[in-house]
Amino acid sequence: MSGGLVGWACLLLWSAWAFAAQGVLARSDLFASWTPDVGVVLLVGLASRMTPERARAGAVLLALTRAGLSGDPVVAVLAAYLALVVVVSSLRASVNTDGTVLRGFLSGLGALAVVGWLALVDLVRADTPVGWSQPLGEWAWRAAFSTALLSFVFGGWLRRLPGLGPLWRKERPWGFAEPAR
Amino acid sequence: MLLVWIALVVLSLRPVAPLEAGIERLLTPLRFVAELTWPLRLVGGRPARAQGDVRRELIEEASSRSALLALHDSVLPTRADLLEGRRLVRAEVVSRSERGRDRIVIRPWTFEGLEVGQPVVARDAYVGRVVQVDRARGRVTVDLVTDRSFFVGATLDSGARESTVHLVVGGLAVQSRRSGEPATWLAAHNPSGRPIAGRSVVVGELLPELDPHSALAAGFELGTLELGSSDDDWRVRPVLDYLHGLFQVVVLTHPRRGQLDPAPPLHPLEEGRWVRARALTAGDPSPWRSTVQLDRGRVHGVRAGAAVVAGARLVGRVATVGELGCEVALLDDPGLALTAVGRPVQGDSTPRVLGRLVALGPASDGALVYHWRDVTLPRVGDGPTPPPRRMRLFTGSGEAGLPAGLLIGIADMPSYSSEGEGHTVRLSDAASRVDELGRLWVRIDSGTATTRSSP
Repeated sequence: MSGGLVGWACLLLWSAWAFAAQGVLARSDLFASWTPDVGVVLLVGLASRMTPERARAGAVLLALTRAGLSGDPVVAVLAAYLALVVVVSSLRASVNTDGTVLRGFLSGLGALAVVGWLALVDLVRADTPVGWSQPLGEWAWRAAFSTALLSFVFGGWLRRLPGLGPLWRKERPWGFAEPAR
Repeated sequence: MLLVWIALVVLSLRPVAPLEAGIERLLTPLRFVAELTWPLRLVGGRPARAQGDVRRELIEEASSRSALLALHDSVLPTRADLLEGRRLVRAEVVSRSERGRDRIVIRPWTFEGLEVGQPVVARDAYVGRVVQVDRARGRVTVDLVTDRSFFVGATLDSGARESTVHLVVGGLAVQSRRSGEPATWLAAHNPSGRPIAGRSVVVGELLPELDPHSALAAGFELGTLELGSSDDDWRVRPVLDYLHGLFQVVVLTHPRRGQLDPAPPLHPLEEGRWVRARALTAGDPSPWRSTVQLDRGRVHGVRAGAAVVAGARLVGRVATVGELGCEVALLDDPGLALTAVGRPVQGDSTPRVLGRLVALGPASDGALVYHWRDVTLPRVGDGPTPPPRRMRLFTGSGEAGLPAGLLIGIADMPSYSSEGEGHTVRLSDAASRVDELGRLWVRIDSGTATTRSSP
């Protein structure tokens, strides 16, 4: 796992703070249902410039960090984040996923899938006798919209947080992502 | 990679308990991730407790004590003939037995005079029979009348002109409904004559001399006789919710000279089974969840299901426990289940056993929404729907780690039966924001008790 231990440690620290801030936002009266998924924005931003192997390692790290702060089962978060980086890495071979608009669109779509999946897992596990007081879809589309917005405005900036550079700067941008061997 | 991913998906939807526990232990170091977020805790830190907070906590604790005392008294028989010639030993239901739902474990106020075979009742209703007295562990095991191998002699309150009908009651008769939970009755067998539906069925052994304790149970109610789908299908509509409505019971014993009335047990907050905890997070990154991470875990004696309180107010229950930390499901976390009693805010304040409440998550306006199953509440007439009754809700007992008498909140409880569908109730004045509460305490195992200071 190249990229520097410091880089991974910084990713751990920044993602822990990002998820904690997300938790604070989720409890607030104003933003609760519009809370963006910061993990998705970080992952899409990093996976757009990382090798698939390193992107998967990043997904595992982010999933474990989120699981340390959340009631969501770690296996579900892992499944969601790994699927997301696999999709982004695959797309990267043919399109420039690093552009602001596409990255925002991918983040929104990713949040829709991740939030929908995690809410579904929680619904299945909670085993409530009737449905929840708010439908799953409502959580998912609101999260998708706010995540896309966050990615559009701050996506590039989040990737440039202090210490994260060594994780992605050595990678070639789109067009050279899959060099012939 | 694909296989790993499929395995993760399957485990997400169909969790395997031992595997989940193993993963939980493996990920113990993740607890330090929460510690890393201390700068955010500083930002959202709670101001020092105001004088009003202290007064509120004292009022809540007094309310909790009063509710618990009322709950203890509400379980005593009300009819004079059911008190005569009997000694009443009150007991709290601690949990269901590992053997099954039809066996409960109780903690009596005293063991003096307790024997196997003695009847157990709740108010005027028959509950079951003592099958094991474990003085060393301070527990008594009771078989419920719902057990398929349980039989008790019963008589039909048939009025003056007809002869008494004898029958045997025990086990369950179940019938599914179009929707909602299936309806359950007590099964009735071998009537000695033609029974009359709608009459009250009470305990009455035909040959009481065969059992030294059977006379103690005579006259206690089993329910109302009903006719099922066929002519011989007799069943008894119970007066109790045997699954979720047993919190306090009474063991009937023979009175002896010199026996003193035992003192009531300590209030749960005085039991010394609480450990102070610190919230490491302000909320869950998933906005539909409502959990916080605490800095106390298995090594401190915390177990899954344990109550978390601030003063006498229930904050939530421990959902998962790691070695050094735990995750608490707050009152608005979907799926959180509680056993509850309600005490009317106005008028007659006798506690009413409500049974099980399950959180459905927060409503869009922030209110806490719960599903309330009401299997035994009778329909009140065929007229207009009676208005709901405002009640202050407290925890019942019967689940490990969740003691009785903790304040949950206030709700308008419907006064009519949902016929198995369950009711949706909205809870107000409940503790759902940890950052607005005072000190947090977690219920711990009796083996690792520490002293709890006063709120």
